[in-house]
Amino acid sequence: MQMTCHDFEERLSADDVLLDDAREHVEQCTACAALMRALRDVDEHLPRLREAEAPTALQIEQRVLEQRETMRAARLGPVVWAMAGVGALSLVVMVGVLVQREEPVVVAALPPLAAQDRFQVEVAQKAKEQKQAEVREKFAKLFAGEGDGVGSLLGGGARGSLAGTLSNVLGGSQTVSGNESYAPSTNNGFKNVGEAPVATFSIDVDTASYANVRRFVNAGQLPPKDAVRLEELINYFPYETAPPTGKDPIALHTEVSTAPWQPEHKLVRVALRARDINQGNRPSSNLVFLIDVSGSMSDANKLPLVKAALLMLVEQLTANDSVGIVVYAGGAGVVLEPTRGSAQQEIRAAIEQLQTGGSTHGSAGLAKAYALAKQHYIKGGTNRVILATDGDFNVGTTGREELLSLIQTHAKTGVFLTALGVGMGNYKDDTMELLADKGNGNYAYLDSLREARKVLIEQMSGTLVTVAKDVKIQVEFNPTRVGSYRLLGYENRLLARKDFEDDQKDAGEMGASHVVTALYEVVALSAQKVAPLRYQQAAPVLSEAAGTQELLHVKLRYKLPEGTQSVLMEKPVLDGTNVIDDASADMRFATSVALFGMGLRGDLELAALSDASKRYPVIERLANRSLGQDPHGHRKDFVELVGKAKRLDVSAVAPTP
Amino acid sequence: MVTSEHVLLQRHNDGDATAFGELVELYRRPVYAYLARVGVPVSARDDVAQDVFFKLHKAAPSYVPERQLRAFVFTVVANSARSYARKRRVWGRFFESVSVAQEPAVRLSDAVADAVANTEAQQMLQWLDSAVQKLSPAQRDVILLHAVAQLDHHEIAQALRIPLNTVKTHLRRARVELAKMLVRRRSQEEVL
Repeated sequence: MQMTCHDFEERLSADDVLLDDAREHVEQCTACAALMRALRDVDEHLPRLREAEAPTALQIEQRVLEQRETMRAARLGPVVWAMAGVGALSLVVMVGVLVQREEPVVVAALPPLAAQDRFQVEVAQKAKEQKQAEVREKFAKLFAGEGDGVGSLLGGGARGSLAGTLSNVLGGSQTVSGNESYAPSTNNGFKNVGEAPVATFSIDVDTASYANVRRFVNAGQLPPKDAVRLEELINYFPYETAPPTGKDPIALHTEVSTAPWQPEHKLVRVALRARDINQGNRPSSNLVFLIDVSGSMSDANKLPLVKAALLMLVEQLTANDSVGIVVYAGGAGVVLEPTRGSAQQEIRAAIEQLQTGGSTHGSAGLAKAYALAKQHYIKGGTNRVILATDGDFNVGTTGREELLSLIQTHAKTGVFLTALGVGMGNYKDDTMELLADKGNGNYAYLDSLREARKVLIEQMSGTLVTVAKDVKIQVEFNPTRVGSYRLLGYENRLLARKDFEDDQKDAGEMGASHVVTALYEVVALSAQKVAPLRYQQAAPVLSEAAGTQELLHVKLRYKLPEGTQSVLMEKPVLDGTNVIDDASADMRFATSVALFGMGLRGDLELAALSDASKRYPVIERLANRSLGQDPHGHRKDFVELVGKAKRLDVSAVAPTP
Repeated sequence: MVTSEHVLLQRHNDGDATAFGELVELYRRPVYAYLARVGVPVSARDDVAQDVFFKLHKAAPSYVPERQLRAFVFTVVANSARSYARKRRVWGRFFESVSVAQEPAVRLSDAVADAVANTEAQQMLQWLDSAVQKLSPAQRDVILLHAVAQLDHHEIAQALRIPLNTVKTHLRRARVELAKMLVRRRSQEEVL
């Protein structure tokens, strides 16, 4: 009789020994063969679950001390103090058991527990629960708006998770996925040219959002809307935009086409390309790695990944470079004094011996890392602190504002910051982006060794060598041609009009070979449907240029890495009628990525393509036809990612009535 | 080793002052490993482990030497973990994020020179760790007592106070369930 897969499974669960008919079935059935293989792997790995970390007595003691520190730092008032008291007390008792094990009958030596323990434990438990209830109430009040801003701090100890969880429960302002947090952002709306003829924003070379979106999709889940930052998706990919040929370190390119979701709307691409620096001419680097070794970093995709990534980076360094390592957890310490890049062995050894332990004291670590970088400052070289963390700065006496001002001060002295985000679960995307933004730096999310290779090796010069800083873009629209417009992405990079001329105003940096793309969706004046105003006549006094073919005028300001005065570049953009399918490969690809991101963000202006089942084919068609050179296969990966997201996007497969 | 382990509580009851300390040291690692696996987060593990050893100390006089010490210890561990989980369901909503699946499970002691190759094994282990969390509580208890606490079928039956055949059934179902999850994961990876 023929054995079915179900029979086979039953046989498996009935007896480990396979009979002949079962053996025969496995040989024929690939599904069951796979199951057998998996079973073997499971059996092989299960015993390794035993290897879980049991803290040493010393570690437990340290934790108690740290917890006390945290509570002191938190200064949350007597309520938490009392809780800390109860918590620390119980931990101290535990330390008693473990530390003094060589001493006779430790437990019995404690207060008369053997006799009265029941009563005591109950009393302690009651007290603890009562305190917890009080704290809960207090937090509920804070988050209901009566607070003194605790929610806006970086969080200390229990506060970190409390803040996330509570704001979620109480409908607070942050989006939390698990315990992850993302700054909320709303899409840029259309602006009327009559009311706002000028748009100003800072460039952004971060790419973290794409890697993070990819992590979500690969895990079988669509990312939360606020985790999707359009500009970071678009700028993740290499483009074939030509590098500058003149004296400016940046080339400014523009292109006009149509929006696939709204063919009457035009899409204007503004692309900046920073000059290349070949590896041989790379200026000397003074790098200080600042590595989070707190307990939360011990997952395989955190510290081990960071270590592997840094080892790859170190291989690229030479005798002209220097590397220092600072770690932070319960405290912060220098693991490796700045060492020549040629001393590979020494550096590797220092990286390899990093281990996790303790909670996170981010601010002290940052201060120490900056101090080290400053001591070994290389004039005319790359001076950079490379921060690797899951972003959970949960212990530290410093509030968010203080931390940012620390970073900002150092950024002014020429020490820039690269933030490498890792991990998941309690990943603090908003914190990381803000840190890199304020620290004149860039921010990448490492979800795999492959991504680490991209950020630290393929784009090493871009990540490490800044060729222009405080890069701002200002676009003025021609009111005789444009009715309204919106910028796709860059929501948290918008600047006031006057900021463009203000050299004190901080903006984004560009590293060597970086390409930054911004897309404007533009509605022609003729297609504009706005009721006229009662009190104002929409008749501005026009200059001569308004009568030309110009659609808009792009201005760009940048400073050289050590400069203080900005340089202006400008370029008028002529109106065009090129449809998207005839546009350049770069334009088509950027548009595809933008459309993908807008869909994930639930953009309301996608007209017919709001329907996912119609949107995904367009995304795929645009991307597939514009793979270009794609030497590292990143564009191809995007196409695959879109395919996966399509399957996840329930509405994409829902039958249309 | 097994014999000395066997008599530890007996020695303690007979007034040997060092026996209980030895017992704590002996079981520290498997107890922590088990607690980690049933989803007690790092922040609470010290507390729960403490609770376990208190209970053991209290219950020591009732220990019958014929009983396996390991089964005896893990009876207490399993109960403590469960009562923690119950409490957590009540408080967890307000005080901690409820997801514990990403608790760092495995300590990396290996040299990181081969961190790259290592990462894969680590990921497998981490996956297994989270997969175990997805099993039904009954299956999870049994497979963890088997794999982590290294109890044999009889000891598990004693520790959980369930019939021997039920232990066997749960154990096999848990293994097949895990294997199926692994197959699903692999086929997903292939699609990707």
